[in-house]
Amino acid sequence: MGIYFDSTASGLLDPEVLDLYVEALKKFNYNPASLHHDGRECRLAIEEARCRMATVLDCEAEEIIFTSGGSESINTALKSVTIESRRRGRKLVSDAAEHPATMETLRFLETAEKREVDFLPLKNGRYDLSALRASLEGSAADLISSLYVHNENGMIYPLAEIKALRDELSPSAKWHVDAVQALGKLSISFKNIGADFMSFSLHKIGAPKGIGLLLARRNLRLCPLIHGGGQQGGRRSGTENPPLILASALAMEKSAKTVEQNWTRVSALKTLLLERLRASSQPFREVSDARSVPHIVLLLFPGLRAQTLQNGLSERGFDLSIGSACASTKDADPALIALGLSADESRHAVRISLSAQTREEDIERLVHEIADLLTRFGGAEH
Amino acid sequence: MHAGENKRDSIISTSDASASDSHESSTPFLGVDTQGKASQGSADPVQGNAPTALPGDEIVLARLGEIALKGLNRNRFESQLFHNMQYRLRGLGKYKITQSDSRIWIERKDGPTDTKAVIHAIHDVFGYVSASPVRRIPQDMEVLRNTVAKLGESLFSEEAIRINAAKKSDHVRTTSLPISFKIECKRIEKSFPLRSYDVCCSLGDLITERWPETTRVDVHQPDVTIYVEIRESIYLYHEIYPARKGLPVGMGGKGMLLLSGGIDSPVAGYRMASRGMRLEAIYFHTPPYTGEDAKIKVIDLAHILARYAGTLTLHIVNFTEVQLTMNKLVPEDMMTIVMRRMMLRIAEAISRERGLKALITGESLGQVASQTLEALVCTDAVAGLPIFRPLIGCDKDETVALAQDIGSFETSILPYEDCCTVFVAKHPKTHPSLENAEKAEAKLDVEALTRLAVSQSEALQIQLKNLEA
Repeated sequence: MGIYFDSTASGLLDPEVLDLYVEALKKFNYNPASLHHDGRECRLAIEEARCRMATVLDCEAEEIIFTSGGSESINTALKSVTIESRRRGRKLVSDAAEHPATMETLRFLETAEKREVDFLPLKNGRYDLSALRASLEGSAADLISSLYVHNENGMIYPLAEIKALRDELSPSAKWHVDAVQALGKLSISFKNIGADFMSFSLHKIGAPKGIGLLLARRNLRLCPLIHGGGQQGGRRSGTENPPLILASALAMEKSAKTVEQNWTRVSALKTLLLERLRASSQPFREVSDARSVPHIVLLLFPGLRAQTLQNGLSERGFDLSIGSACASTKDADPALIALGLSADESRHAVRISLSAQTREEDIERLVHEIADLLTRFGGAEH
Repeated sequence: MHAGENKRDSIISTSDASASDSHESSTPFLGVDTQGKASQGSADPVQGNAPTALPGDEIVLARLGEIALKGLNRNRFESQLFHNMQYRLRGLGKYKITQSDSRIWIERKDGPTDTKAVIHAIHDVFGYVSASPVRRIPQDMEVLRNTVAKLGESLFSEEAIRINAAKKSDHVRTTSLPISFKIECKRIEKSFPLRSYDVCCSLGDLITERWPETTRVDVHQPDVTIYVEIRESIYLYHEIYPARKGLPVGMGGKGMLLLSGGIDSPVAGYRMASRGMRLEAIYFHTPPYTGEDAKIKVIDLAHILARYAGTLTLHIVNFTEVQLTMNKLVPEDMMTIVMRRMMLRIAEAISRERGLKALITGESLGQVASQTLEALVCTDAVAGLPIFRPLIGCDKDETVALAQDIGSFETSILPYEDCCTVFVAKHPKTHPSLENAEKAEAKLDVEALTRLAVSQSEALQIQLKNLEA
């Protein structure tokens, strides 16, 4: 394992969480739907975990649905709203910088459900509230989907303002918030945010992969994505995963306890990173909004293609991402373009993820290696 | 239904067989279209329709093409072909390969011949034109009639037609009833009591009497042709599977292929291998500009080539130092030309060390800026060995079609950048003179750089894996 700067793609597994997971795999190895003693133990364990998670997210326990990950949560919310609003048939609104899980699902719904979809452009790399206003004034929507924290540059979306516009101009529209990158970085209150749906992915905060959450307001009619045995009140069939749920509850509690001090620490790390880069005299540009989380730093290095920089850094033992971790093809990442980068710039964009586990010396070494690579190999590519 | 007399006339076919027959396949089958083009590398070319419980045994017939034109050297070509076939058959048992009259007979010595497996195993061997699974029965008319009757069950009965039609549903040509057929008979053993004509009549009658609703005779464009050859045994077949033709690998010397990750170079290698040339390959790895992914992709392409060209050596040259030196000392608009000249020098140096006598590239005239006539003249100027460019006159779509056929296309289009794509200048000089090129590399110590690169190369053995039994 290299020096890790890729926690936006996936959080390192917390050792305490891992131990609990392994123990739980041995102990809670039964079907929570079974009516015998062992099954009931599993059921109690997951329901207790659900309550603990509800405390962390400031919601009702019944509002939590366990899914297989962020993508499933997002799919469930978007598809459910679309199907439930078939008769009204109004438009679905999102923005052009969305994550593929939302973008591709909406594209699919556009064709399969023959619904109008509005991908609002950003303005100067920021969420454009006036575009949302104009869209909703044009015609009311059935769905608004927005990110909370952008996975490429850490930008924080203006949730309060989005909610205000929804309430004012399209009060019956359902509002989904993709909070995958917000968990562990910001304190989250489902109640206060006031969304109808929120999606989470737990491996981002150090739980094992394979589990996510969908928060859905209690009185909402939900069309399940997965039908079957009727688990989770019929909202998401399929045998639940007690070890994974227990591990996730622990991970969530641990991360919620340290959100504030992590923010402070990571802010300092980001300041150090930028300071060291400036001191190295290598040209670079930070592509972040004023309002963004310090944990995600998007940088442009005109001297080398991001792919080359990553090849070199990877060889020297550093893990980081270029573009979105999901989309690693040759074409320019559409989300980066929507954020205001040119196609050429998007090929020079490197994403450095910082976490509380990052050490100052790691940052020093990273900057040293980046500078070295730029000096030795920079300026040659076209 | 034809009147008796007309039917007689229309079954007649002469027994003149040309020395190298290259029949069109008369029965469409999975994976091969009726124009006789070779099927996709990975598709199984044989759709067995072998009837069960037939008399005699099965062997495989392969037909020679160009080799038959060879004069005094023919034996050597055939030996190499048998050797290459034997290598592929190793996992399937012990095989005897014999030759007579431009035909090769492949027969298993230690058990019954699995014709489907054999034809599949030798499909990628260059040097023969087509192959057929053949039923060999004693020289006896009754046995022949019984065998044809049983064969007819699997071709002409209502149930067989339904099954076959379902299997062939992907093909454009529909199988409409009645199925037309023809018997083609060759009588080499002159002591056989019946004439070819009589044999054809007898068998033709047998079929049309047994399956009057579903068959009719057509000697011009039959759906099915049943071939009967009367020798010391009788040989019976009706399926012909086109092969890749060419000359056996090993007869054409050894060449060095400049292998990039693109679509063209693997196809160029295949083309030369099809003329019997053994290959080695060279790839220029330029970390960190090019990544591990790109290198693995080239190794995969080398494995694909090995299927046709046999085991080959892939030389991976670390080109980074050379590239960095060129970055400093070579003007941007001549970078591509100078790069290619350096690559050729390095490829030639390694080739001479290893006794290879030609270089091979996938260049096609006019395809990209570096492949204008003038640019090619500049790159050729540094080479002492001949440079073979089998695609020089090909259109891209022909190359793509061949890449798909040999199975390299999907790998080639994986988006991992190699040095040829990374360093393309924004405004390259497209019609450089030789003088431009020499001036552009004037500051380079080309000999030292060549030696350096050669010393920083590693050689990987890429094995041709033969099939397991």
